[in-house]
Amino acid sequence: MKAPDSIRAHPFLRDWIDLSQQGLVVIRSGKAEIGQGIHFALSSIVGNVLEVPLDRINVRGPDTDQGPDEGLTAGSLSVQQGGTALAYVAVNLKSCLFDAASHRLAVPVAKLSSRNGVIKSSDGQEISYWELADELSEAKVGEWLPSWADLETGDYRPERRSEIDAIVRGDTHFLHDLVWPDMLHARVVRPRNILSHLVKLDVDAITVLPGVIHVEVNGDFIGVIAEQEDQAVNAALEIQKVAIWEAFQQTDDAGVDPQDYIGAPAESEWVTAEPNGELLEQSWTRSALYSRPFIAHASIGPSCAVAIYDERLTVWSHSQGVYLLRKEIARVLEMSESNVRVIHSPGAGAYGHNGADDCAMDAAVLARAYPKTPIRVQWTREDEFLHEPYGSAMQVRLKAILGGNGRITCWLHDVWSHRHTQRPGHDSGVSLLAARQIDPSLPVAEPPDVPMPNGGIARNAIPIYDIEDVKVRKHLLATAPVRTSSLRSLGAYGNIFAIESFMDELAEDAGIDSIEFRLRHLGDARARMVLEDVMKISSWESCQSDRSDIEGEIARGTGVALARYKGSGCYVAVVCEVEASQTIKLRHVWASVDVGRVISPDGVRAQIEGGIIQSASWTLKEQALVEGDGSKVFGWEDYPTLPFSETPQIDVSILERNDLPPVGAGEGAQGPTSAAIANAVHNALGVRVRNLPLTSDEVTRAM
Amino acid sequence: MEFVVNNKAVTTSAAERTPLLYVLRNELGLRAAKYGCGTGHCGACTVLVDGRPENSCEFEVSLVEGCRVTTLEGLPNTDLHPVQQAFIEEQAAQCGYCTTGLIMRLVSLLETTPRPAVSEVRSALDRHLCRCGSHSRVLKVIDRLFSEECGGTTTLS
Repeated sequence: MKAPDSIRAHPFLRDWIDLSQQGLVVIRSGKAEIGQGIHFALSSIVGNVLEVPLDRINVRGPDTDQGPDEGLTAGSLSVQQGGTALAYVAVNLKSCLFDAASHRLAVPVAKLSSRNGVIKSSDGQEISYWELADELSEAKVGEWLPSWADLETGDYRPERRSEIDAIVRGDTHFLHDLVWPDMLHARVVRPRNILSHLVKLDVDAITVLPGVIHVEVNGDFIGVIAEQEDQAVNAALEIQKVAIWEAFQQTDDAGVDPQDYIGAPAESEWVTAEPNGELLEQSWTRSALYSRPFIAHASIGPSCAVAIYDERLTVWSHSQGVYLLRKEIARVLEMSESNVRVIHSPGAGAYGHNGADDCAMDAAVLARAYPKTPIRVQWTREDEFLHEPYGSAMQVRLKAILGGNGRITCWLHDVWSHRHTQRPGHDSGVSLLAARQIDPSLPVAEPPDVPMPNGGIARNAIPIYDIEDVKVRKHLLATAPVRTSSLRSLGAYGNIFAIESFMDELAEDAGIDSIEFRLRHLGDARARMVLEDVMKISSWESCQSDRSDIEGEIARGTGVALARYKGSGCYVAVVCEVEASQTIKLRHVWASVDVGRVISPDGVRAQIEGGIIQSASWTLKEQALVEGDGSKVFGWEDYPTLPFSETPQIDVSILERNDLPPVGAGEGAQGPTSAAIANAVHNALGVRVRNLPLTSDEVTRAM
Repeated sequence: MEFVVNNKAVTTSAAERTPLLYVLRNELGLRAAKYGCGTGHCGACTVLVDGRPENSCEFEVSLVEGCRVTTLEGLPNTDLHPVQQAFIEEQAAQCGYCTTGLIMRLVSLLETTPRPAVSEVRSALDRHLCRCGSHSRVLKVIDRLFSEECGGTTTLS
């Protein structure tokens, strides 16, 4: 096991695990609980090593004043990074506790054992972890690096997430529900396009409204602070009515329609080695274009933040990266980072970079304008839809040469996209809305695309298959109509949709069953295992060339897809069964998953189920329509999602590989699910839909 | 204005058009009901008014005068309600922001609708949105609560 970098930056045991409270193990994690159950997984890892029951373990989330900086909670890396770090810390902590007990009890370590936080010697003496804690206050994480295979899975596997108990009982869990005795309520008011300038606002007319305490106008930023929440809401509505904004002049619709991205001005770069000219001039046996639209994170709870400006500035946020947020807040407000504290508190599921950080910046600006009082900013549903950064639309062009023996010999992947990350805190400039609006305005950041092997635009653009000649090129579009940033799985969703649809098209050209065709190109043993497993659990009959079935007006079909997330994460193979009539109904989904070691079986299952449903919603329903001057999505009526009544039956099979390091499961299912649905639709109707979402209109267009 | 919340008489001086949600959360400290959209599309703010599920985000407080309002906090807290118990058993939440609204909807169906069909219960959930994809687990909650003997008999083990 390689020691994570975070251990080098936070070398003391007490940076990670605190035994100062009698009977309690307090874990300080740099990874945020965002609904994915990470704190439950981390408790399980530590509980198993220390042999402490989970009801005696608490986990504290990210706080820039305390605990380790573990970067972003993103990329399905929380178990891989945060879990590995804590396994390593816990193993070393236990070794230090045993050494201290050996000294105190005058008994060799070999004659000690522990249970429930109590170390016992073979001659009957006992001492608890907490009695020894003082001796370890300066102890550092040691050099011993166990491998995951050396660690037993143990008896301390959690069955239930404690957060679910709290939420179901109505206990305080969300940032949205925190209160301070003298807290004031605030709202911000923005023009539809963030580049519009404020021409005029009659501040006096707003100040006289009931309950209004302060109206902050700074450059193009407007915020209103009131005593009561509904008073803030009413004042914001009034501001919306009377504020005059300069009309935003947008000359064209560049970057709006992903079906037109090919050939648009872009910065192009080969992701693989650059091919010689001959490759590009070959006569390809098949070529196809695919696209995905802009997709909103559309958290069920619009963003919220609370800030207090006193000697220092303290901000509570559901951001997935409190350190980057602190950096940008400090820069914009011209404060030193040490005078800004950002504390994570849970919000609604965000699935990437939504409005959380923007809302926190809003609260910081307002708290400084009205100091010494906690200011709570709540974004509206419309704020969130109009102003959150969207997951970028993409277009993918695939070309291949299929040999007479049914083997692909040559493969070319071109992907056009806007940025997949524009989180705050980048050195090149600012990203958050308030930072762009207040005086003096700072340059807007132009962060580079996430480099390979993880990749942003080109995430999962390199196929998992053994193909002799693979070339991949990415094109970052010059003009974006809206701000785009990380949405769960980044470019992988679009790239896997394209690759796995194209594999089905090639299988059909070759006259070979889709799974058999994939297996013929697959040397990776773990990939073969998930594919063979999903074939088994879905009763896929490989010899049956036509799996579709027509009953009256309804056609049924099945489709398959496979990916290893980022080329280094979890393996997921998916089979989908659809019913197609006037509309497409997803009936049943089978998934086979290999995440290496399984820390929490139910946690993996929940993440895969959630990923499948999220992808089904994206693939069948979701698109954030935009035009040259901004988003056209104001509310849920403009943004249909998968309703409960259209939920498919889901069967998940987990292939446990406890000898291998654990990887995350949160982003593994989204890509394969999309292609498996499209492949099933093709199987049912004979229609190949290459542009998402896969609505009945899109099916009709593809016919 | 006087009304009853979770079996306790309360009075509020809030303006008549104030959404019930703000009175519950900010004045009465009952924060289980969540703000989700303010337009009655997502169901996160669902509470019971005289036993009927309502979107408290757009339900003006003047309309509850003399009514009995039940929030999640008003469900029995020591022995959990069967609906709450089923959510825990099935681990039917990820972030949990939509959970309160779903619980209140199912409580009302369980207590007021005689023998609802499972399909009817599932359709009733279309007035709620979930973004984490806990749909299939919520449907398992429904199966637990409604499938065997409908009309309020639960199949909790």
